[in-house]
Amino acid sequence: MGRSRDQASFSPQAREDRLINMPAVLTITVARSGGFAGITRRWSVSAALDEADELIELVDACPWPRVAKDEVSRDRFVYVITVRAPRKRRSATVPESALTGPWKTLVNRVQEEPAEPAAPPTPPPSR
Amino acid sequence: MTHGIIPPYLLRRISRLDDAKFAVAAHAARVALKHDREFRSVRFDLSFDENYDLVATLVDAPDRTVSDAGSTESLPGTVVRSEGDAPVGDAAVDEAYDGLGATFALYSEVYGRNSIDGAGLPLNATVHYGDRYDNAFWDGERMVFGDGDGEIFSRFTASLSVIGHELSHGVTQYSASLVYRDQSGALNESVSDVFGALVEQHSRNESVGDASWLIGEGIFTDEVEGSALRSLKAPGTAYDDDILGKDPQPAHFDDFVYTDEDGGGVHLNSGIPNRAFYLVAEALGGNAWDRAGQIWYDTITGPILTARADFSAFAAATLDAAGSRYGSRSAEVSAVRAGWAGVGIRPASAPRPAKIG
Repeated sequence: MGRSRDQASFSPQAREDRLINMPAVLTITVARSGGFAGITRRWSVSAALDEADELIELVDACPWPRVAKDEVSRDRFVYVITVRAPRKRRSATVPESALTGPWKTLVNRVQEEPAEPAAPPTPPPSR
Repeated sequence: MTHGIIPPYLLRRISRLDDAKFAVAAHAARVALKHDREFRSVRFDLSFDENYDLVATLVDAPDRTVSDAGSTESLPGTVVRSEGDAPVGDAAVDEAYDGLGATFALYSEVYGRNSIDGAGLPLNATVHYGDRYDNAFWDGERMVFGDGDGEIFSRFTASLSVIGHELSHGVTQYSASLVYRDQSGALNESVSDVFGALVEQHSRNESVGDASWLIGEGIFTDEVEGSALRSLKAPGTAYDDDILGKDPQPAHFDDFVYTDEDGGGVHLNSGIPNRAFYLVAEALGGNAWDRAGQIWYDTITGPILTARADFSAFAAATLDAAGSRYGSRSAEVSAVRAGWAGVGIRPASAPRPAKIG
């Protein structure tokens, strides 16, 4: 740890080394906000990358760049779905009315995991 | 006084009466039939006056349809109760039907608005939506109610204020059309809470002092430490529970919540205008739907409010509405000004010339 702030540690090679030493984990989180109650609930699932084929398949099946908007509904849920892996991060905001097909399958899979305890009652500030 | 739903064949018969004694009834029946052709509902009241002449009156009436999604997520579901049908014995169905009626009654009897669009739009509801579905929503055409998970939430139709809230989203959609994001979104939410509370108060004939001012009373299970989802009187105090946490609504603009979730916290920051409405109603006393409600109704249906109004612009529009109806030096205007001051909102003023230098 002694030379972690050393200039050299920011070299591409050093970054590569750190990434290799990082546990290669895939994490998918689902934050469901909105709804009549306005109470946010969160779910997440993690798996070692080399054992995450099932999850990766579910993620890849989703139409990430093309999420339908919903300007008409009121009090429906909004899902923020985030996938994190080493050097990769992908996130989409999916209105409940668009949560169909592969999105629904993915969210159902994440929700199967036991809910995270002690979700903060207030959403984190964005600024 | 005889009240009743007159079947079309009878209306047609009355409409053809050419006895002068029944001229009014015949005309009313013809109007009623015309309404039916336009898929608009009216109530046709018959009575006899002191000369035993038949008197017919037309009153705006709801045209309700409740459907059952059968625990699926497909809409609209199967029709289970239509206008004029007797109760079916399913609590969610009958609560939705009665709630649609109570909401129609507030808008029609107090503000003279014939249904959501002001033109007799049929009122549609779907109940038993989804599997243990924890929500109630407005989809642009109908209100949709889940049964709750049974652990935190029970069925959402159990609270009349929730039904009034959902249908008021329809009223806003056809009037102020407030954009459902950030401050205009919180105002959209607040308008639904205000009129949801007023539907309940009007239906129970509760004065400002008697009312609970709660939204969603009775939809938590007994497991939850909390009386309701929101409080207009005291935002932030509706629940405080181990699992749900504490009601996060701010009651003052100093505590405005900045977040990316929930359209910028539309269900959180609505606490601020909710509390402002409560303060106005409290200052004016009596029944909140009378003057405070009238000012808010005039505001959302008036010419000033824009779809992207912020709190400050909305406050200015309420002041203008109060001044137009009650006079600029009225107690109502003072109450509105004090209400917004009480939550830290300064009403927007007319654009001033730019500063020089």
